[in-house]
Amino acid sequence: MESQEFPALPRGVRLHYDRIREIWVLLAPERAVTLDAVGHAILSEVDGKRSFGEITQKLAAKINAPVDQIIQDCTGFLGALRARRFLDVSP
Amino acid sequence: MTTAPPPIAMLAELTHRCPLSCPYCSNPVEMALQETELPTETWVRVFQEAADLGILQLHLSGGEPASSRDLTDLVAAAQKAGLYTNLITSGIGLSAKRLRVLDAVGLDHIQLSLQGTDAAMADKIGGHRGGYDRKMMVADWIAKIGFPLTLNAVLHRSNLHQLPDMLKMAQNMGARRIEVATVQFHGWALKNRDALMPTQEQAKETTRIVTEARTRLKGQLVIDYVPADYHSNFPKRCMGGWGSTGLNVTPDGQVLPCHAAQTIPHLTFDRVQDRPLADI
Ligand code: SF4
Repeated sequence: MESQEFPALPRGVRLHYDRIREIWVLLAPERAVTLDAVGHAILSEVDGKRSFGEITQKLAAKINAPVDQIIQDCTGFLGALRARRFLDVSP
Repeated sequence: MTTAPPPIAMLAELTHRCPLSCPYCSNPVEMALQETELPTETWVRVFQEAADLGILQLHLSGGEPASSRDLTDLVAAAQKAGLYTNLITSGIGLSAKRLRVLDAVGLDHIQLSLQGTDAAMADKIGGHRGGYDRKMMVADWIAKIGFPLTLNAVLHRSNLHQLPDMLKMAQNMGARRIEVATVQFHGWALKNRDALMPTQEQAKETTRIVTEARTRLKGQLVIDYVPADYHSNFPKRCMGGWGSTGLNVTPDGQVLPCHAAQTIPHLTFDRVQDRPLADI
């Protein structure tokens, strides 16, 4: 993903707090993906309005980690969601 | 239910009625009668109980769920319970207006079945003239509203050769996903086995087409594939184990761990009319 691209959750894919299991999940068509703290932190920044570059900058500042590391994590995670069609990316 | 992890999905079979009559239908050979179908209030209670139990996703199925008059009330109730709601339909019984109402009450996703890629094939399999043309109209309305769409193609000896066209059709309809399922032999399909069983050649060719298409369509169309199944005399362990991820509630209120379980003799099932879901 390029830093000037905009990731967004498409219709039918949403974050959901599972009050029974006390975890965050991503609900998608006929699938539920359990999220760890990192996955949840990343997706909480994905709103369709901020670019990949802005998101990774913000996360790096927030958790005080090198931005290169954040970019790498986000690329892997968001790339996997994109391949399942759980994430849209627009230029 | 105390030791097993709570299931994440529930399949609600609203009715066994369906305008189509596919030879591989998973409806039990003894269908529940319309008079014994659960009243709306019971489903509404079951949806709330399911959510309280940790169910996240609800699949509304049948038969044809659109044959159920209270469908929109049920979707609204499922949304109120916080369930991700999926409608599994042949499209027959859905109008543009009804789809708009379903959109307004918050339906999350639609899975549309595909019997073939032309009217001659699809209507022969579904046994319902005009069914294919109607389905194409429904697909168009679904796309206009913007519902996320999965196509569900059941493949067998007479329509396997249409797989490449089915993949194209899925893309043209804007589907994000297609399920390519080779017919499973239980229920009606077991009775129609000889006509449905793909040849070994066909099965191999299907796997080849799927493998190629997965690479070519990566990131555009997700292909979930259930290959041909030659030697299974036993019901499939649905969704990775009995009741661990899936629960079925049938039109007359029986709670089953998966689809084929009803055909195993000597098992009786609890009914949601009699006990709350958490006790079952
Ligand atoms: S559309 Fe589905 S429920 Fe209806 S006959 Fe075909 S397989 Fe059965």
